[in-house]
Amino acid sequence: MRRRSRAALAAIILGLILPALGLAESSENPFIPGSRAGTGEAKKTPDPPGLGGSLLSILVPVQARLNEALAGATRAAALGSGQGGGFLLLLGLAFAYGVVHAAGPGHGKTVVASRVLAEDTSPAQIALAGGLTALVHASSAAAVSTILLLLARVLFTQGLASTSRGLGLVGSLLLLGLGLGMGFEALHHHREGGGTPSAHGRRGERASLVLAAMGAALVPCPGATAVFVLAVTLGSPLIGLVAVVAMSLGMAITISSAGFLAWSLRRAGKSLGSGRRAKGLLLGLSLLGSLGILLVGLLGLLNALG
Amino acid sequence: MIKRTAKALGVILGLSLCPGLWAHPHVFIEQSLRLDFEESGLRSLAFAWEFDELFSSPLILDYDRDRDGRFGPEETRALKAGAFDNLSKFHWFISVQEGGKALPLGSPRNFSAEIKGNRLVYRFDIPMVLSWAATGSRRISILVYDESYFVAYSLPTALSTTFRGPVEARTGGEVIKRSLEYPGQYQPTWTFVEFRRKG
Repeated sequence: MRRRSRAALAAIILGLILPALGLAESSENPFIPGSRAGTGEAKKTPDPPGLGGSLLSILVPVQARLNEALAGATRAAALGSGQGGGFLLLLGLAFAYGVVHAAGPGHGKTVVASRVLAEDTSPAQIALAGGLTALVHASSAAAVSTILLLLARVLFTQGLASTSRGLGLVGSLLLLGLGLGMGFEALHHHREGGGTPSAHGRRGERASLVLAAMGAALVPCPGATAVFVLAVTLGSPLIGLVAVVAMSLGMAITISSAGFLAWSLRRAGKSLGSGRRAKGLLLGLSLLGSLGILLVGLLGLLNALG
Repeated sequence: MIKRTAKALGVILGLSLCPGLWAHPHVFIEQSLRLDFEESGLRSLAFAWEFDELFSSPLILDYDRDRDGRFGPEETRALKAGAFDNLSKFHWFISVQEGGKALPLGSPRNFSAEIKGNRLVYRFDIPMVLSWAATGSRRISILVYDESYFVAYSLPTALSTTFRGPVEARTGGEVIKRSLEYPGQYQPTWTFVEFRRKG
């Protein structure tokens, strides 16, 4: 009973998270031409946020304060006014910002959770998946920003918007391929009586991890981009790079946590035994995970194609 | 022990990822509002939007081309085209109503931008034609709100709302749907303004 209630709780939470985060990944900077579509009309009665608004009211002001503090710490570290203490403060703030920032939509949580839900994964692999996703997301921010800043003829903000759209397209295609592959494999193993698609082999698992991370996180993280660019404009790209690394460590914790949540659900499913119903449940989880990745890929593709 | 901790962490952070937290502001704007009146009534809403430093820095980098800390006419035109005009798709996130009916708004005029400290500030007027009430006062409600929460606007409060012209007015906040779940600036809140001709 205890296992079942835990599984039910995890299922409810995941049911809320997976589609929600997938849908929300489409948001883009509305100030920049070519961004998300709007109707051009005023909303008569804007809708308030969905469930969990009370948590939102706690986290968003925290993020606003972190945002301001992080900008100040980046400035102080870049200009050398805070010395060693200022540098440590920047590291701490960037890390905290990463944790909170990655709790918002996007950042690869849905993909990592879906992949863990779909396949047997060890805690170490989940941590690796979270870390890799955060690293790709933050590295992409630093790499794209550096290239755009070096291209003097390109407006940074517009170059970033179009590059993000292009990388989003590539990432979405990767996710579509990964989701389809995982779905077919789950069905194949179920037909063979296994119910658990764990026969990838180490190389296959690694490839799947990398694919998921690339697909989920190729688009530069807007938060990391903002901090990096601020540091560069202040003449300290190295400070920006260090802040981005600290931020990616923070994001890795949040992203991995989404994976651990899915992991607890899959384990609860596995603990039901090896009967027909248990195998059916595992197949269902595997297909749900594949569907989650497919959904994120599809929404990303639609978003990238405008 | 490690597995238990991982599970607990997963559940706690999972809960924190509930849909209410889709809200994910990347832009924080402190705004102030001035209502401009003339002899015939209300003529425009003058907004000032002060962006956070992280969002400001790439825009300043892009559009203050001569790095003099100011936006000249050409730079302002480019900034408006490159990082303001697109908001027309969203009606600039601005709604004005009277008695539950939307009032027509003109397109923004007199756009200008400045760098205040390390922050970018936009100023612009939204034209309106609203005459004085024949008797008593008129009451309008103003909302600036991005439903996607990419942009988090501060509320134009009584402190940040001012008036210019021959008017007597008072202002306050009016929550759209009162609920304990949506307090603070993420509760869509109208700023109401009651005004009448002075004297």
